[in-house]
Amino acid sequence: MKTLEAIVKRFAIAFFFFSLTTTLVYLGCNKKISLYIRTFNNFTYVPQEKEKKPVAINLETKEITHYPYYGEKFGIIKIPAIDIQVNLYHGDSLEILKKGAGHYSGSYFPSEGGTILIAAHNRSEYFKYLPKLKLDDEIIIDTTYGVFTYKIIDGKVMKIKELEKIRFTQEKETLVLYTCYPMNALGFTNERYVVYASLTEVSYEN
Amino acid sequence: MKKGLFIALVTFLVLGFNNVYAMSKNDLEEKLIKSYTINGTTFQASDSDITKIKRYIKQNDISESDADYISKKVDEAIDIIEESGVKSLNELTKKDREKLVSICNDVSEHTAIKVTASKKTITIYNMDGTIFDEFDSEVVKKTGTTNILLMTSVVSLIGVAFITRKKF
Repeated sequence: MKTLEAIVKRFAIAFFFFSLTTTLVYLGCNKKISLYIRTFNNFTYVPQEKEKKPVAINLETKEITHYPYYGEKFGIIKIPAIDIQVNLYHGDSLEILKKGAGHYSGSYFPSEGGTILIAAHNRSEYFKYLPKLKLDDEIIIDTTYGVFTYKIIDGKVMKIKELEKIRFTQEKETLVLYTCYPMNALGFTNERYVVYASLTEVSYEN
Repeated sequence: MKKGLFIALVTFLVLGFNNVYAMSKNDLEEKLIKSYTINGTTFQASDSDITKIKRYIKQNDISESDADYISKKVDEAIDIIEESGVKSLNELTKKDREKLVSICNDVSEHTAIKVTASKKTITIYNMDGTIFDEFDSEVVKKTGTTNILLMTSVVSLIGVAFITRKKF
């Protein structure tokens, strides 16, 4: 009986201190706790994917009416001069670049008449041999909505900071491909090999 | 990053608007890409961010009520920054940052535009649930004025919230 009484007494004291602590925390940090909980709830949004629409283009206006979603493969880059074909994805995250070439989401798409920026690793099956390209060599981007042919107009080594200054305008459709430089470098480098190409031919698929 | 994020916020200002009518998608787009002056500094979205803004608005059916709601919340956010007198988000007080976070939460709760943020990645969703864009949160911290994602006011505010909450 005395043992039971002692146990109950201890529980009561523990409960008292627990309640006191909780009350003090609540009074002192209530708003912050609410803020964090709300922030956590909002940042754990799980999207309910509806049926994905295919990439679509209006053949009369040549305007893309539905864009690829981030991470979606929407074409193949073919460079006959160096005998490569690389899958092209929208987005350029590290995960995407493991699979092929990545289209920078802040640049335009083929057909929009603007600057198109695409990156890929300097692997032999991707962009390792870009420096071997010469003026007028062709780059073909075969997308789900059309085939776009470009010709090389320039190729050079650039610092990363220079590359970040590229302007994304709609003055003229220009394709920019880049990869890490030097080509035998492992890991992160401060230089990129960049190729510029101008649009020469378009064929829209039905 | 600091100036870039500041630009991100400023880009979505709707200064001088009384919001006496519901805002259309086109109105929202115009306001997001024009230049603004806050605390004596002029800001405008970069080329790449303008491209993203236009693409998002074109592809997603943002309702007038959502556009209007976002616009009003951005005004509130800008009021906070204006009243603080700072020219960089990093100069904001903890209290002001918390106010911005609250605005972000509020917009995310009341509109259809969704953004998630983990420790490493910030993800923006299309309204059909697919991903519109994704970027490394570290990039937001380090990159310069021409390379910040300036999606919608919700994104920029939530981006700020994500960055600033880590400093609480």
